[in-house]
Amino acid sequence: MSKPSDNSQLIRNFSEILGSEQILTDPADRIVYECDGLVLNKRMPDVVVLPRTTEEIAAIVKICNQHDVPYLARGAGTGLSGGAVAYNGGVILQLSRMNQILEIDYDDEIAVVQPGVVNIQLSDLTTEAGYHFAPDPSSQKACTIGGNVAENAGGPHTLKYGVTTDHILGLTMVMPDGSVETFGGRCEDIPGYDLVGLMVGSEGTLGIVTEITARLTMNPKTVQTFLAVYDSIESASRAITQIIAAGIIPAALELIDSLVIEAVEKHMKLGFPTDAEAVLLIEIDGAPQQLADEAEHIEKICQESGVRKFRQAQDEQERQDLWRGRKESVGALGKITQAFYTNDGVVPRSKLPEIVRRDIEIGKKYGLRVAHLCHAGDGNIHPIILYNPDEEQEVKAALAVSEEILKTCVELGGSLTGEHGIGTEKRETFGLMFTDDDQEQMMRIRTVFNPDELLNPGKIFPIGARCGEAKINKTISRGRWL
Amino acid sequence: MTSPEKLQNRLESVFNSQEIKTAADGIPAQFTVYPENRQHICELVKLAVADGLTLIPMGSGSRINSAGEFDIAVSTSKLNEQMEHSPADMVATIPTGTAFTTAQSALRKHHQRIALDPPVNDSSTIGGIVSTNDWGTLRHRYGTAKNSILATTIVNGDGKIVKAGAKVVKNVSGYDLNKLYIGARGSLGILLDVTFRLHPLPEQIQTGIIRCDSLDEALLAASTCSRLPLNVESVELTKSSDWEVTATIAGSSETRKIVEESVAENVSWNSESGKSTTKHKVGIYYVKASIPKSKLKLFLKSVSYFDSLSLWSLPNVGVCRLSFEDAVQLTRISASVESSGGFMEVEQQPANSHFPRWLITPPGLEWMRRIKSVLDPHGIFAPGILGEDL
Repeated sequence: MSKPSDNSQLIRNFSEILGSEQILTDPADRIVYECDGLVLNKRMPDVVVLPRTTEEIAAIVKICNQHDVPYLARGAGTGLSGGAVAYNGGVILQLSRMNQILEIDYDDEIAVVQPGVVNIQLSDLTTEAGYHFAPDPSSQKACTIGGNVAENAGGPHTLKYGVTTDHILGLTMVMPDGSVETFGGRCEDIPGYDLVGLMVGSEGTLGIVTEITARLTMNPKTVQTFLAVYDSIESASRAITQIIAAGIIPAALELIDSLVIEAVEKHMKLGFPTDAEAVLLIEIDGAPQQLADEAEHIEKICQESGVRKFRQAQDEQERQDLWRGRKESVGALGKITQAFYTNDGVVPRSKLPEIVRRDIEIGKKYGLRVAHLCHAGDGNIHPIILYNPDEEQEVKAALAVSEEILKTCVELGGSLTGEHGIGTEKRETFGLMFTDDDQEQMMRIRTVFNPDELLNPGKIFPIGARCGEAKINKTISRGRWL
Repeated sequence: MTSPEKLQNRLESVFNSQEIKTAADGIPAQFTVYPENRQHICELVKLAVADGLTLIPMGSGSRINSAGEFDIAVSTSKLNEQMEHSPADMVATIPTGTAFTTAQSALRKHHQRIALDPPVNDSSTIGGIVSTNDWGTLRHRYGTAKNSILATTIVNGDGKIVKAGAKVVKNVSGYDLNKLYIGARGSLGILLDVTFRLHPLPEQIQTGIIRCDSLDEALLAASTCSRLPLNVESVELTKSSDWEVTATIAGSSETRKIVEESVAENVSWNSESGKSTTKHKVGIYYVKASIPKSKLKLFLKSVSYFDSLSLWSLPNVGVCRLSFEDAVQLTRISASVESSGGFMEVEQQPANSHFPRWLITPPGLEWMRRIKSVLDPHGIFAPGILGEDL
């Protein structure tokens, strides 16, 4: 893509199948696509195309193949691991115009949607009928279901209801050879290898999803939401461990620390206690009798772990406010810091108190504050490193803190990522979790579907020193969504 | 196929005599090897690659159900490994040769369980259940092994030990190869261990059986049960002579009243888990079918008139097990499944019957073949066990 003449021919070929308003070549238009949530490592695509149909995508892929040009699909660009950025140049297929909900079938309890449908729209449309789409990442007002499929997105309520892979039955895809394939379908069991399960979470490296058959989940009959206020973050995290160990699986179990509370209250004034070191947001749902028992048990555990105050949301408005505080809290962090770097790691749930303690120690070692906003019931932590982007030393320190936290997660038996994906951000750390042989097994799969690696190149797998010591990618995530 | 004498000599070059047995009846191989450690399995795979031998992974062998013949059956049941259970994390990594009932008994001491209840006998292994992606009544609420398995370790086609996933309940690092291995019947490698997300064991269970006069009535009862404001573990629908709905509910005996008020007055209650998965009579043909839920009623109606048909379904999931005696019925059931937009697998058939495992070709078959060709490049793992060159 370095030669202008090559671009010209490519664009001419695109013009034969797309309208002029579907092709962006002006730098002023393309600059929007230079990064996703990972902002420091940018690369503008050479061309952006905005297809409307599966057939157009297939034709675009064939043209890219003819020109030997890399390409990738992009939804809302809310990802945090650099997965939707054309670091090798080439073409971005922006799928926001493929935003139709094609079918809702309450008898089959499914919806068929295009990849550009925004996550929350599906739940909004089905809620009156008593249904919702269960994956609920905090970006759900902006992120697309196609992006959810690519990243196997989670969210607070996936603690009970499962992540995206548990809610996808079928996919229509344009494969890297330009063919159109359907995997899965409208029923639960398709004989043979689970290709849908393989595709979900493959970070857009095996094909481009153009239609999604998603399972709809019945809304819970009864919901209760609690706020548990703690003077010690370790006590709060210990309570989480004990709730899970007691065999209680809440619908959501979130930890918010004092830095985040401070930001939320400065921004929204929702009544979170600013003198607390941490709060737990606990939601349970299900049968009324069971809820009464669970609520009593949870409160007892919280009391035993030193809770200062334990209160239930008294009405739907209060419940919505608590969740607003949680879901919009990252955006509020701008009130207390110039910049922040969001991490995404996972530890075994019993290690939660330890990882929280060690995160804070690591931050102190480098002179930085680390805020915590965690899907704690899953052991999925989001330590947020606060730093000044104008101070080079602080940028370096933030990267070092991130590296140590991720290594600690893996040392404790956890994972590099619970919901953000590997992308480019963590590809050089992949070796912390997987041996060369493990990676080779995965790369064989990529070879099956994407042999020339023109589709979304440079993602997931380390480049270069694959057998050497893993290194952290020197970039910082903007960390807007969690 | 290699001669038995030559094969035995080759095996004795790697294994001690206790590890090698002539394959028992029902095991489609010449020998069964019981490796005592993981390295022996790796060496066996390398031997198979070098000599062009075929391997069929197995636990107890109770679920192989293959018309094919292989050189060596590889049992993981003698691997000297222990289950790693972290009660506080509600996660357990279990060697695949472990008996399912043994694993569940150990977990039960901590009031936890693997939320799977496929039909089993005492020797059924974790590996056999995962490799066949088998399920039972709890699928209604908890799904299949695909919804519970967090990580796997296998010996791959090069004789190397490779892992996928992570031993935590949330993880998106790398491709989810676990999904490929579950239900692959050993055609992509030899499963060594599996890490499960565990679920709490209910303190009390109430199981109610509702007898219905018609399919319509049974489906309405099943649907109503599914939507009750209770912790409904499963809702099964069965037909032998009559239609029956069996609802299993986690909770105290107080929940019975809610069912009786909402669904039916005459409910036969007990305090044990539903056992309908093992209740249907053993037929000569044994089939699993998956139907879009909106078409289930039509499908059930179309097959309910068949003679001697035993039918068991999870209507809220859209899956059925059917057993019957007549080969003609198999063809008619297949046609009915296909016209419903569903799929089916022939799990078991008489020795003199040679229907393929899949009577309806699944989408993506060519991609499955390509996956098989790269993960099992030498074609040693149970070639053809799934049918369609897989």
